[in-house]
Formats: sequence, structure tokens, C-alpha cells
Amino acid sequence: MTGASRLPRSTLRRASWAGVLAASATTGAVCLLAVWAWGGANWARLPAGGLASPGWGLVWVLAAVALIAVAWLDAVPAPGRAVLTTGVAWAWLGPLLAVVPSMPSWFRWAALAAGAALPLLTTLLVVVPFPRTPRAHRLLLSALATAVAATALRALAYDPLRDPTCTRLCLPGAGWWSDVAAQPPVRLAVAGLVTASVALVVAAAFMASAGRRSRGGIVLLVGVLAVLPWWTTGVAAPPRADDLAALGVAVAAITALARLAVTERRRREAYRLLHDVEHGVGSDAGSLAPESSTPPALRLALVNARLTAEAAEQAAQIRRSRSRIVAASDDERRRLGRELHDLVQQRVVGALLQCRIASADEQDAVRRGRLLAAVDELGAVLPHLRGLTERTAPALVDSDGLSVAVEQRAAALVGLRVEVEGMKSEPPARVARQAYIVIDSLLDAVTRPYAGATLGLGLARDAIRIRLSAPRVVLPELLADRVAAAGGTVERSTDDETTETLEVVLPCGP
Amino acid sequence: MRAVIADDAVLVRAGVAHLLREAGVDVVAECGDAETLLRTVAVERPDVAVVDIRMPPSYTDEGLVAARRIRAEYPDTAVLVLSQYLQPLYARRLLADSPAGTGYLLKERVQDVAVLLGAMERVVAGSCVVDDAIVSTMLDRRSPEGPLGSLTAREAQALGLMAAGLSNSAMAADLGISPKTVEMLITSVFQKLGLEQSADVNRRVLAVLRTLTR
Repeated sequence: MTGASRLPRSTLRRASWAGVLAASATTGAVCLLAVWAWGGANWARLPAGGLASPGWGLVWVLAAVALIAVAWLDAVPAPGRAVLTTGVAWAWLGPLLAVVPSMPSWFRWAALAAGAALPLLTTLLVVVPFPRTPRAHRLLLSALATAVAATALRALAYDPLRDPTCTRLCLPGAGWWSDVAAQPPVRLAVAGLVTASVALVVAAAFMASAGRRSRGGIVLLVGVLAVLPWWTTGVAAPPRADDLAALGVAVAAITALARLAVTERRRREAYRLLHDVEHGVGSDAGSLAPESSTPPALRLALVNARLTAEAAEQAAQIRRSRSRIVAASDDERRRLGRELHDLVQQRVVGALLQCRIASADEQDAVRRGRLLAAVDELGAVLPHLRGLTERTAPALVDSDGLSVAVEQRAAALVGLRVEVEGMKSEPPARVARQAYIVIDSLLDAVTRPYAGATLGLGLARDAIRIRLSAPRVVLPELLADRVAAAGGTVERSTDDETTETLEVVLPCGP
Repeated sequence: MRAVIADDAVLVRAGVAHLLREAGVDVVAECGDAETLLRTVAVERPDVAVVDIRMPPSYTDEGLVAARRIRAEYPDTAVLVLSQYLQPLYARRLLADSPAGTGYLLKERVQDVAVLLGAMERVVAGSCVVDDAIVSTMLDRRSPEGPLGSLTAREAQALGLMAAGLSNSAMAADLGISPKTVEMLITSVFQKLGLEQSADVNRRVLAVLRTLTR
């Protein structure tokens, strides 16, 4: 893995801060501009035509942008979807919840302050690590239970169908529903159903988010708690208070989405690392160390990928080591071959000559006989040494090339047909020596006689292709290891019931 | 017979020189590398140069190259190459340009002074000499479909002796047959190898070269 592909923790931290602050600042500025420039888009008092007002339209444009942004994040996880759902539900519920005329003034102002402080709370929640202690969980669950209970109370105490400012009932074409819902039992049931559904959505979203330790869920919970007084008591908030609360909720939702974007960026980066590992791009397993905030499944995948990369790296090291061992073995063969030829054979011939000379000078018949016996022994050693030298390091491969050496080797095997193709240029000497050793082993693997056997040798696409067809071939195990160490392949097939074929491909590259 | 010996192994060079001197050969110089050999031949103009294939500086085929240069530049000097390679290709390459007066002998033959001396005498006489082992190797490899494959065992034996540079009488003695029968065998060999009637020596050389070619 290259260093550039790694996403350092500090970068993520900066990205997180930048995303939160940018989202907060942008959303706040736009909303303030919209609310105050167009005379206040009061969610609580939207008339039927209020949907056409610039402030309200801008808020909905922002919501649409948020939706598009989330849709663009094509791998949004379940908590993210829950946050989105809750945000949309909140946007629909805002006008409904704000119409609460009976709440005491001090409580409304406290709620207003809480709503106005939402951006700050949101930022703190995003950047401060999530509390993971059981106590914190109990507190959060208590808050959730409170919100659910308040929602239930609201469902019983508030009748949205009787609310003259309810935007949904004021919408054109909704009059038939007013007639249907005019009966008290039905009104109560519908009111409870609508409010309870929304509450359930909020609760489910929070549970899903909190279950995944998502800070977005906490943001929404804070938003719910901030407007809970209006929600439960039906006190109407002042227009500016409504505006600020709406601003706070919008900032909270957008900030949560920004946080999602940061998380998504990290997720994408992780997936890209996984993809790289899967496709063998790079091998730096250290870059796959998961961040503490990485989702558990992805974290596990990263750990697996890191282990896979480490295993692949170890396997590559073993392959390289094996290649080095084979190369060292080939070099050693050449050295042995040279020494056998240039040193040992020469010395034996020299000793043989000296014995011969000494025997000629020796007057004693017994000693002369012993010397001549030594001459015979030394003479008998020479053919063996020659054969050993030839098998260890065939001189023809270096002096005349692979194809000539193979043809000469094959010439000694009566009945063997040799087909050399595409050998206009010789492969590198190292590869040629390896190929010769492979061919030599293959020919040894053929069950005699060689009649009907064919040896094919070709150089194509930077690889030497060796093909041996014979009635019976016993593939030596070490040969397969040698070929694999050189990065090559061995394939065995049966052309028909009587002919077996071994095809070896040896790469000429490094 | 005046001879020059070239071999980078001092012990071998001295041993061969000693044996040849004992046998009455006038060893005029001993060389350790190909360059010295060529200079010596140019000066001494010996009857024969006995040359090792691998010599300094690269220890590959300096002796072979020097032998071919000697045959090309000093036709009066025969060359007998001593090699540790039982490789027909090297022999064929040596004999390709100037087979007459050239020989290829395995180095271990030096243990038998008579064989070495006989080969030297035959190349000096203008014959082409190839080691028995190489000829046997080629005859063993002969394909039944080729010209060599049509030779009988006796004819193949005669061809081997021809390659060793033996005269008809020597062949008769070796095979234990009459010179007349040897002539008949040789004629049969020439016919089977497709060698047209020409000077006898040339046909013998051609037969040897044909033997070295599968």
C-alpha cells in the first residue's frame, strides 16, 4: 500500500472538525439570512400559502439538498438512514409541535435557549468521544424513555385535527378528511396514531443510532428534548423563538449529515484499502489499521484485510526467498561445473600423466604395476567426471544457447522428436539455464523408450514454453517446485488415452 | 615431428610434453594461453599444435578459436585439439572449415602415448581425426531413417575407424579382416552416405563430417 492511500488519524480529525464547523456555519448563516431577510418563516404559524414564502422554501431546499447528499452517499448505513428519517419527520412535525399556547414563559425561554444552543451542543457531541460507560447508556436510555412518554402524553392531550394552523389540514383537498375526522372518537384515534407514529420514528431512530453509538442520534435526541416543553404543553412560542429553534434543529440535522459524510469518507477510504488489498495493489498491511471510530463490521473487515495482506506479504517473501534459493542453487551448480571441469578434471589428468611418467621411470615391476593401476583408475574416473560436469552445468547452454543445447541433449535420445519454434532470440542466460535443467528433468521423467515422444520448445510473450508429450511421463515433485520458484507453471493433460502432455511455462522477466 | 603444446594446466602441459619427448617428438614450445600459442606457431611453424579448448582469459573456447586460426593461417601446421567435452558439436565446429589436418581428441587419451602419438601423426599426414567416443556417440544416436541408420554394424565399425584416422591396413588389422574386405566396407559406407566418387581422403573426411551430423 502506498503512503498516499493511507488516511492518517489526524487527517480524519481535521476533516471531522472541518465538516462540523463548515456545516454549522453555512447552515446557520443561510438560515439566519433566510429567516430575517424574508420577514420570518414562522413554522408555528404557517398559513396555507406559507409554503410559498422564501424562508420556508429555503428551509425545504436545504432539506432537499440534505436528502440528495445522503442519497449520494450510496452506502449509507442503517444509523444514517435512521437519522435521515428522523430529520425528515422532525421537519414535518416542527409546525405541529410549536403550537403550544399554555406553557409558562420561563419554560419557553429555557427551551428557546436550549434550541439556540443546539449548534454548540451538536459540535461538542461530534468532536467529543462518545460516552461508552453503562452509566452514560442508562442516562441516554432514560432520556429516550422520557421522550417516548412525552410523545404518548402529547398524543392524548393534543388534537392536531382541531388545530386551525395545522398545515396538513389546511392543504387544499384535505377538507374531506376534516369531515371524516369530525367525530370525537375518530379524531382522538387519528391524533394518537399520527403523533405516536412520529414518536416511534424518533425513538427508533435514536435507538438505532445510539445502538451504533452514532452521535447523530444524540443530536436528534437533544433536539427533541429542547422542544419537548412546547410539544407537551401546547404553549405557543414567540416567532423569533420558533425561528431560532428551527435554526437549531436544521443545524443539528445538517451537522449530523456532515458527520455522516466524514464517516462515509472514512468508510470509503477503508473500502478502497480493502479493494486494493483484494486486488493486490500494494502490500503495506500497516496502513489497514482501523480507526477507533470505524464501524465494527468494517473494522473487522479491515483487520481481516490486514491479516490477509500480512499473509500475502509473507507468502510473497517466501516466494522471493524460494527464488533466491533456486538462483543460489543454480549459481552453485555453475560454480561446481566450472570447478569440476577446470580444476578437478585437469588435476586428475595431471595426476594421471605424472603416474604414467613415474611408471615409465620405475624399475621395480611391482611399483610400476601399482602406478599403472593408478593410471587406469584415474582414467576410469574421467568419464564419470565428464558426465557429472555435463549434468551439473552444461557448457553448451552458455556457449551456444538453449535451443542448441536442447537439440544436442535430445540428439542422444533415439526416437525423441524435437520441435523448436520462435527461438529467434535467446532468453536471458539465467532463464536459459533454468529451462535446460527443467527440460533435462522432463526428459528423465519420460519412461523409455522415447519413440513417440515429442519435445516442444518455444519463446513467446516473454516466456519459455516447454511441451513434452510422451506415452508416459512421471512428473518429478522437485521439478514442479523449481518451476514454481521461478514464477512458472506446470500443467499436465492427457491428449488421448495413450499420450500424456506436460506443459511448462517459465517467465523470462525478472 | 615438431610440436607445440598449449594448455593452461602446468601439470598437464608438462606431463604431455614429457611423454611426447620420451616418444621422440620434438616439443619446441609449451604455452599457457592462446595468444602465446599463436605467436609461437607463427615463429616456430611446428608440424602440429596440441591445444586445450579452454584457456585463459575467459576459459571458454579460446583453444578452439586458436586452432581454427592456425589451420587458416598456417596450413602446414596440423592441429590436435584436446578436450574434456564429449560434444560432437564442438568437433563438428572445429572440423567445419578445414577438416584435413585437424583432430579432436578427448583429453584422457593422453594417458596412452600411443593413441596420442598416432592421432598426431595422422593429422600431420593430413587426415581428419575424431575421438572414438564421439563417433560412437553419434553412431549410437543414429536414426533408423537417416543414412547412418542404414549402415550395418560392421560398416559402422569401419566408419568409426575411419573417423579415428586409421589407414586401410590399420583398419584391417583392427577389424581382423583383409584389406580387400576393408575396401569393400568403405565403398559400401560411401555409397550409403551418398558420397560421390572423388579423392579418397576427401571422401573419408566427408564421411567423418557426415557422422558428426545427425
